[in-house]
Amino acid sequence: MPNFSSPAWPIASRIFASLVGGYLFTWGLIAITIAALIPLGIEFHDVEMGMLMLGLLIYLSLFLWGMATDKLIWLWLILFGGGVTMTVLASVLQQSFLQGI
Amino acid sequence: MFSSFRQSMAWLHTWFGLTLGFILMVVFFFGSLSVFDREIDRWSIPESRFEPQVMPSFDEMLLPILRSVEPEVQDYNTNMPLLHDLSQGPMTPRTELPADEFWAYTTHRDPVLIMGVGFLVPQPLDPEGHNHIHGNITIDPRTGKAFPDDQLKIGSRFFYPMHYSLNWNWNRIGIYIVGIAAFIMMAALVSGVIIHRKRFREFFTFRPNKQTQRSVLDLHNLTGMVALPFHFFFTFTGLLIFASFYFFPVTHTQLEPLHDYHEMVEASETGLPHKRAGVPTEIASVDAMVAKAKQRWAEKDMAGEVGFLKITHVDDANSFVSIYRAGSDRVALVGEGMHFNASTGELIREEPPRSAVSEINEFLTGLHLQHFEHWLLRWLYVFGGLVGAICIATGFIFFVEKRKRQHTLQGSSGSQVVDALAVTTVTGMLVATVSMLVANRLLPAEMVGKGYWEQVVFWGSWSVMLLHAFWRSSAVRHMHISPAWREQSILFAVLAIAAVILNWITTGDHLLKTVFHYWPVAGVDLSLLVSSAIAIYAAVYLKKRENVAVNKAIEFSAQKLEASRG
Amino acid sequence: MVEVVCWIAAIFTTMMGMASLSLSLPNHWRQVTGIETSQPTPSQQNALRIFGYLSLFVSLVLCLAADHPTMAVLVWVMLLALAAKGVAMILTWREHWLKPLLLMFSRTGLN
Repeated sequence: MPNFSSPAWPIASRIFASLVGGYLFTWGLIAITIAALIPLGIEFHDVEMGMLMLGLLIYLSLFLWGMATDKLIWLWLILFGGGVTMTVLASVLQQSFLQGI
Repeated sequence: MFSSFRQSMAWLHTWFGLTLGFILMVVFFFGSLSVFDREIDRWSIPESRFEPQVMPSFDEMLLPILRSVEPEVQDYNTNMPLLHDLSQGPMTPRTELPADEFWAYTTHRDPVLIMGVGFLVPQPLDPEGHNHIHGNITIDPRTGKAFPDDQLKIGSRFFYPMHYSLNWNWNRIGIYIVGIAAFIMMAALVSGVIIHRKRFREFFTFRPNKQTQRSVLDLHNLTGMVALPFHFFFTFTGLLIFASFYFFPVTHTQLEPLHDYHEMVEASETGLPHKRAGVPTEIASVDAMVAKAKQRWAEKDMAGEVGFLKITHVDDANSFVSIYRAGSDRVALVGEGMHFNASTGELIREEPPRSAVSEINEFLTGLHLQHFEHWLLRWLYVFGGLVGAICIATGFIFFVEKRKRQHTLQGSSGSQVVDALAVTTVTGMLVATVSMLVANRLLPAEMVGKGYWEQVVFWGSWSVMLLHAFWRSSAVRHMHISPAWREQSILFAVLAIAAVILNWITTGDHLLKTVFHYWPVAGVDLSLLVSSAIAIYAAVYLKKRENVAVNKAIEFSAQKLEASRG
Repeated sequence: MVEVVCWIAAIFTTMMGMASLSLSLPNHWRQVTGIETSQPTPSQQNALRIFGYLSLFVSLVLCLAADHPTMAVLVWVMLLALAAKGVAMILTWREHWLKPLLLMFSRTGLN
């Protein structure tokens, strides 16, 4: 049983949430934007490249926010919750679009 | 947990910077060397010391050579069992694989021409996949003679991959490690600006005569701030280059179906066949197509040479030839692609102007990959890269200086370890690099596996420097400067001069000759000599500082003794 | 050859610009005057800044004259870094090199 009251625990949780959660959130955001914009007829590679550029900056901001925020619970909820939701939604959107053509 | 935003940023800057800074040192240093990778290639392969050439006649010279290329044994042994479907019969023998793709690539800095063949796996497990076994060759475009296989292009095939993958290819782990380090670099830059923002008021300050901790911090801030745009943009664009394949491969994994759908739409729009037709045909004159492409570029007011040439679906009715312009006069890479039907020579498609997003992306990746011809900007990049290396190295030294007293009193060896690792990644890395160059000149050219042994020397000497740094690091515990810094500087200085002399002895190319006739080699030699002079100066200066430190250390141990008594 | 002349001129003007920007900071002004208590007056500070930014702008124009705009911007940004580092080194070891520039801007002269 890990010792949750040791000072190392919150810092480990914070680093994990910021790095991994931030990554997941960014992934979800990139995926959902691509999946949502392609059906609107926007050029595939434009969306992809644009989102990669933005995504890197967004990931950086999320990571810095995660390292600084007081509200660890919110950090976990937003990054993991948001990330998973967007990723799943992106797959759903993709499927409905590809089935519709 | 942190009492203020600034404090959290300081924590991030210190600890992430410390753990990944050693990787970043390697990335910045070898990145700086990669600016002149082709020149280092010339230095290390004397047979290739001649002027850059334009792409020679494809029909007369390149095609017969490409026909003679065989799949690489290692690639075949590793990948053939993975790609081939055993249920359809035994594996096609290596030398009987049919060619599916031909390519040739050259730049304004390359005297040699790099070419390759992608061989088809006839009975693949996944018919949709990229089923290629490769065979590459480097030739002298003046004669068509091939360079030996096992000759290592130290600049473009060792130092350059070191920059982005640490030459650690197992599961591409090196690329991922560098990626994480680069991401942390961006975070370190932002947090660095936040914690040191007050320093903008004394932007130009460097006080070498203050105590080490203070002057090192001056240098850390100065180098971090003056080249901030360079640091940020190069880290960012470096990540961007690999983003779609390695860091955020969204469209190659989760959204692959969407990607494939788009490919299909695109193939029908461009008229470039996605698959082989299965009907064999002959290749028409590629030289005629090259002439057409050049004429078209000239009409668009961007006359240029061919940088990259590729034939897809070789010997098939669906085969097409793609000709790209060498982008030596602008930031974006090769482009203005023209695609021709390989059997009729007809123009199938001319790539339309790029979209705005694509323009930005090409500019950002192009500014990092620097295929352009601009010697001033190249040297400015070297300057930027080395300034970045100074920034990281001074970060380590500041860490050590700030904590070594406390660590010693607590009996911790933390700062000793950091100092030893700093020595290894600063002077140790220099020694390893120049040892490799010395080995390149000492090992006989006809030696089998010469390139392998050069790499052994590189890693071997680096390991020795690591051991040496740890062995000498106990000085830090006694508040001295580790003598490893000075000793490795001297070793580097000697080896660098030896490399220049050995180049002269083994090839007859001395500086007086190369300065007037062959700048790539003269540049490498001169850089070695200048670095050597700097290293000697540093060693002398360190000796002086070591003596000062010894006096201070005596005071410190007196204090410590008193403290332990009281 | 024209572009080499432009580059050299650009290097010089960026150095000039960075030097005068450095003098607009009280710390560095003191360093060059060598007088602990001296400070640039607000109007001197303004003049130094305007001259500094103007020089940097001129150097951008020079870079644009030498190269394709996309390339020129890169050269200029890198020159800014080089010049800032160069001025910092001058302030460390050869601060008297900036005296002429200082004299240009201090109406009362140095005493």
